[in-house]
Amino acid sequence: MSSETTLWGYRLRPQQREVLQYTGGRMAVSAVPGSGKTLTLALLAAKLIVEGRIDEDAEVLVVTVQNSAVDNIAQRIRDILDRQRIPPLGFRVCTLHKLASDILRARYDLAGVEEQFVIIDDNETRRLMQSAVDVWVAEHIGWWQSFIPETDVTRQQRMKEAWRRETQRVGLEITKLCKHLRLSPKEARDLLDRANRPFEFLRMGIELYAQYDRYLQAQSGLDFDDLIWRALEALDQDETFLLNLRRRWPYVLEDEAQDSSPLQEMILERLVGPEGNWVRVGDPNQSINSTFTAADPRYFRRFLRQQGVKPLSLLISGRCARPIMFLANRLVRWTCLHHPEPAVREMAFQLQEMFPTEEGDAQPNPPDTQSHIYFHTEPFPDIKEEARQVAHWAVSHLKRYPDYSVAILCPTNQQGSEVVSALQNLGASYDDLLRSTPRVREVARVLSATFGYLGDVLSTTKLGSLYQLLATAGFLQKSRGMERLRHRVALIRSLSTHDFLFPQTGNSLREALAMAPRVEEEDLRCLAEFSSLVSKWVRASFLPVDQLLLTVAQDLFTDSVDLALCHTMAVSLRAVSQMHPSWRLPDFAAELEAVARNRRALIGMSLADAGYTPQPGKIAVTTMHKAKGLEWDTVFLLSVDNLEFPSSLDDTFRGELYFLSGRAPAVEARKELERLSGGIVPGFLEEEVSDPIAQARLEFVAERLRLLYVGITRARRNLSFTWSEVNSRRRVEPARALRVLREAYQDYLESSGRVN
Amino acid sequence: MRGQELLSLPLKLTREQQKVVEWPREGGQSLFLSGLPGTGKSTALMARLAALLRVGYRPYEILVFLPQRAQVVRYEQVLASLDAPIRGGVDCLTFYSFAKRSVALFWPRIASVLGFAHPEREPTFLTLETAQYYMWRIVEPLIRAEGYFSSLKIRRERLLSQLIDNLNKAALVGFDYKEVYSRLKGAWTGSLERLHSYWQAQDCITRFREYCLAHNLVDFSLSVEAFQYLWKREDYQQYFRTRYHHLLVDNLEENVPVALDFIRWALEQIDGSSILAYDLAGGHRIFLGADARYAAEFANYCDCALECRDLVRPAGAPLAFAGAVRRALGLSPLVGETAFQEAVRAQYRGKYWVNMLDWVVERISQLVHEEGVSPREIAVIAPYVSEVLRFALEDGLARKGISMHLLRPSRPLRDDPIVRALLTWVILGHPAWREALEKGEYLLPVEDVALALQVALADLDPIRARRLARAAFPREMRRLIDLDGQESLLTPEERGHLWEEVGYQIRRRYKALLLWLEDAQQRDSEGVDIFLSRFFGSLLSTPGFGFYDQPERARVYGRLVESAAKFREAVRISSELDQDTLVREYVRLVLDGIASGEYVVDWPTFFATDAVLLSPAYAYLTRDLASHYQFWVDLGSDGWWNRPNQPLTHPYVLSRHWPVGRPWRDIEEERSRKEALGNVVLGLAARCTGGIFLVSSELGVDGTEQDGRFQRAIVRAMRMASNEQ
Repeated sequence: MSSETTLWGYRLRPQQREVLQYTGGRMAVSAVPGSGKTLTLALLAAKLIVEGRIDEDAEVLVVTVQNSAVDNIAQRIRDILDRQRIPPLGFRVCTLHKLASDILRARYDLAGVEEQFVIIDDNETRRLMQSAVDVWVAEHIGWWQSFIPETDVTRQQRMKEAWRRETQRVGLEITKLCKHLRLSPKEARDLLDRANRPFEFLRMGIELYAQYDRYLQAQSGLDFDDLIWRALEALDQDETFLLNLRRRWPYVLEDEAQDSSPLQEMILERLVGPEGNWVRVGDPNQSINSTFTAADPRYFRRFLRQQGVKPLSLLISGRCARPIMFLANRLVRWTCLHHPEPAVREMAFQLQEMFPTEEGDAQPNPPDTQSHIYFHTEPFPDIKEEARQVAHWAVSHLKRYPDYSVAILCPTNQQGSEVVSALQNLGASYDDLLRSTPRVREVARVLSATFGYLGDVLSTTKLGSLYQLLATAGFLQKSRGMERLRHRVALIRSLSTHDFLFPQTGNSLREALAMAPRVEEEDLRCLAEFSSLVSKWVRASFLPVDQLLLTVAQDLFTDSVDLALCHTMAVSLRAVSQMHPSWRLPDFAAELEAVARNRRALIGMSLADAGYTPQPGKIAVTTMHKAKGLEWDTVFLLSVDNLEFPSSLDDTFRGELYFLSGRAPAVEARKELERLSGGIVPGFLEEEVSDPIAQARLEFVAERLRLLYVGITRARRNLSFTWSEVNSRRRVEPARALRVLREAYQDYLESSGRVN
Repeated sequence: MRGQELLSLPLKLTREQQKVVEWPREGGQSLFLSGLPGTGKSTALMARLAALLRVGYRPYEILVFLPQRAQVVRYEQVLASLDAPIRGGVDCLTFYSFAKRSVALFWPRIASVLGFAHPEREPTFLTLETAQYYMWRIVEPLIRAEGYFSSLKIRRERLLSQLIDNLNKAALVGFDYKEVYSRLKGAWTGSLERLHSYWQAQDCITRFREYCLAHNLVDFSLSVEAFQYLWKREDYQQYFRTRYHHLLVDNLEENVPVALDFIRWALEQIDGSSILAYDLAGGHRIFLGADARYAAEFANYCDCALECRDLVRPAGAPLAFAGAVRRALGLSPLVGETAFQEAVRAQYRGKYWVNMLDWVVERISQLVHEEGVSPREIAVIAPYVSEVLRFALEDGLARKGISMHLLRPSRPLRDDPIVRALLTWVILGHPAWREALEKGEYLLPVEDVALALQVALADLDPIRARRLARAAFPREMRRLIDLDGQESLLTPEERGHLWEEVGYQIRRRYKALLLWLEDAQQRDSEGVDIFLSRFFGSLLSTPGFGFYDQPERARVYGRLVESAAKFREAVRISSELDQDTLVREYVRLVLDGIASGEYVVDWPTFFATDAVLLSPAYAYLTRDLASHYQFWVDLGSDGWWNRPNQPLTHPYVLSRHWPVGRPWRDIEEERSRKEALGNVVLGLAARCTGGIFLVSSELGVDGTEQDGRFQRAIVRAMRMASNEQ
């Protein structure tokens, strides 16, 4: 079957066929963007089931990073099985976090947690670490302030704020690293004491970790790293538990393997066992989360080279037009062979290139003739001007190509905000995806309005606004025109909320509104519907906050993406309420409002999870980081300069505090701890340069190159690069890579006979 | 029993029941009666009890032993309905209440032997809450100063309940509490770190026990241990033999090992007759220490064994269905599997959770309104009843004009809004609190005051309650004020408007409330229980107030008052705290969630007369209910499969059947869960006389995929059946 070019109606590329030959053992598939790795994984899972390799009680376990991929893969497998007239059993698709929390839920006792544990998200993690920093700084104020040079008050204030942020960063990074090293605060402290070295930043980090851990401990909270750590603990406590799970999941297929952190990798390693079947698919060149999640491309690359692992590649991609592919390949090649920092040559990329599809491919590359690359040679004076101009181009571009999807990708949120306001000024149609998606904000808006009212039940204004919101958003019967809607809002506001929601016995809405002008039957019907819904929520408002949210959600939403969003918000609020027992409804409404008003991201979700798909005729604004996994016809990459994409140790590095004169507390603390503990993975430390700050900078240079690679490969047809002379009040140069790419592209055009 | 609630005895008995009634009444003969649920064992016992009374045995000679309070109530109801001349005076008791009573009776003789520091003084029996209070006083400094339990993620209330659970398990199973550590250690397969936690747990309970002995405090475990010692004494044997001549035990399988030891001992003492009923599909209270395996051995200890085979309740098809599901789980079916399809009245698998719920509401409405089924004949059974489920179902059914009754294991006091409201009244009204409140030492949110008003005043909806609270509890005054008096901040016009909105009836009631509180201010400081009892008796239970004709609410009230009274009694005796401090400590104890473990001792339940029952499976089974129609909902949920494992205790390892030193592995875990689920299925089916509705949704209430083990077993059972056909 697998030697054929199609399988169940899917046309296969030769490399996909090779992957689908798999029947067992360890295999690593290194894939390039757009090579159809998720489809291949789904086909492989279905094939293992169809071929009868999965016993009745067992399942193929497919692990992904994003929830949206879970749905996508599961649906594909179900469809295939359905067409083969096989019951939809024998597979389980989930994210790694879900897997970990299911392991905990199966055996709380082994994991040492109670069943009421709450998972706190990164927002709450930051909030708790902030409190830990406040406590710690107050106790060590003399030492802490000694890092601030004498200068005028305003500047000192600014420095203090920056130093406080850096202190928080030390806390967060040491906490994360300790968890990856599976060190409790006490063990970390013992390690440091044994070393008998001052390591003052590390000591501060460990103390912050201890304080943060106490906060979590008091309320049985787990952060994302704890979740994985505890699950791993549970697996290590009872071999038969592990064996049972191994029997249940004889095959483990992993998507986006490059993003798995060492702890996550360890969980899967345990589940698979030494003799087990494990297929890891990933793109080592798209690993861009290493500084935040301890995922590091080295881990997956190491696996690719491991003995006993069959390495395969999926290098054929139909996503981008050839010129874009050329640029992506050139970036990889130049970095691996010619990057000015020799260490980066090893660190940044796996030397692998993308290849265009053959004729007759199901997803052929867009024709070269439709592809345009634009290097803006002259810098803009500043990023504001750059944003304004790019916004203008994007709008004009859409006028010419109304069916194209367009994205403006920025290295930072700040730059993104500039673009958003420029688009706003132009009256353009755009999706602001910097922190969340319009869908997330819409759901949060509805919930925050509901909670806002429930926290202030006497307010007729809020009740009227809630009606307006629910009616315009389609949750209630549609009104005939805005005027009718406004009229109904006025009717609601004319009554006190208790008369509207809890009329005294015998009184009906009709009687209550008897004196009101122009009340039609339909108005009464609509208002009665609204009244019964809201009065139910008011009666439910003594429920725990997450349960109240879910009660409201069940009344309003039916779509699984919306429900999943509501669930994410409910879980987050439950954690918040457990961590802050004195909070009441208005506080929770404010939390939701922060998401609704785009002041806060909904953590732990990709744009696709949060219900975003690129739309033709619309401009998306987001960061290069968030754009991962998505593609647009036309992509504008902004601020491609040597601040955002440094190439040498002498460049300026974001986040390093100038007044600390050569010290980098978070980096130093992290590297000191790695060295004391021998590092997460044996052998990696030996590859590093001895100066920790230099090493951290090199890692940063490498990661930013991968980020650029991700940015480039988001484009199907058109790609534009721009930069500004001044970025973050610093004078900057174009990124080294940008110059290289431009020159290479000139050669490409000349050699292919095209003129840009 | 529900649906057909057994309040009086049937006119006609089965052959086996007749045998039980006619069992020899003299000579100390014992009978072991077994059977599946629905074979009429309880009825047989009750008929036997009635027969004994009718022929003139004196009630106090008869001891009826039951595993939980709910059944005690049932027996008492039947006794009340008997036409026997002397019906009162029969001792219907649970093991614990019997033990406690005996210990209290023999206290002077045993106290010093047991090691109490002041045998000459009266003992103080601790409730779960007071035990938690004392345990917290012991554990808290150890956590703070010594870093106890730092490797675990457990909130303090959970920690306390597990520590106390370990002590109780030791007592109920009958091993020395000092062995808790070695038993848990012997079964642990993992890292050394957990052993530290076990050791710390042992240390805490040892300190707790020492504290109890030094202060004459008798917790649950000490009562049981003392009783174990007591019944071996000559003087107690003498007493028992003289007092009791007949023994009836229902649901033997739900008893803990020590209770079974006692029953075994009692069999030898009884010179009249003993009859023990054993449910073949029981043993659900395993987390409370029930030992069905040991109970089964009583077939050998009794003079005769009799199995009831005829079903009194027609549960044939549901039982066959349960058998098929058990087989699909890889268990022995235990019952015949013929033609089970008719047991399943309908199946539904919706996409969303809300679809599932709508479907259930629709079908119940059809049953009630079109088929004339009484709502009390219908039970909705879920693995776990969340607030969303409760609220949504209650609301959906109310729209169809059907009421719903919720049965769930007692929950932490703090989680009950009625309790929170009542404690707000203590804060508002008790002199011990009022000062702290007015000085701003305690911040009471206006939302809490609104809830308190809503609960106290009848016919006050949440919005009017909030309106009233906002006016009556001005932030700057920090107390309730007379809105028509001088301190009112409202203009006459605003005042008129307020009462117009909230209602003049409410105005009168509010005034009465305020007067009562003013009066309470003038009194000497009194305990929370006394304060609340007076509040209830003189005001809240009268017409126009929130507890008038509200038995459910009154029950919660009663529970709070009892808890407060026991706290006062227990803490006052053994510490130096004054009355006001006691009041404040108690309120904090509940609100901070320290006293929040679920009750080990369950409480009788009052059923609304004609309502659909919503219940978690476990509560339904342990209350021994039955319904004509059962809706098994959320079938895809993992809740049917996962048990509430806890890191510091273990129901199986701390049992008699687990040899010390043998590791508890996942193989055993898996087997025990399978058996537990198999028993649940069998137990439910045996309690269903009409048909089962199987209901699930692809996505759970939280939007996650629902594909649990129970759902899969049912699918497989169905598939196996259709393949066989």
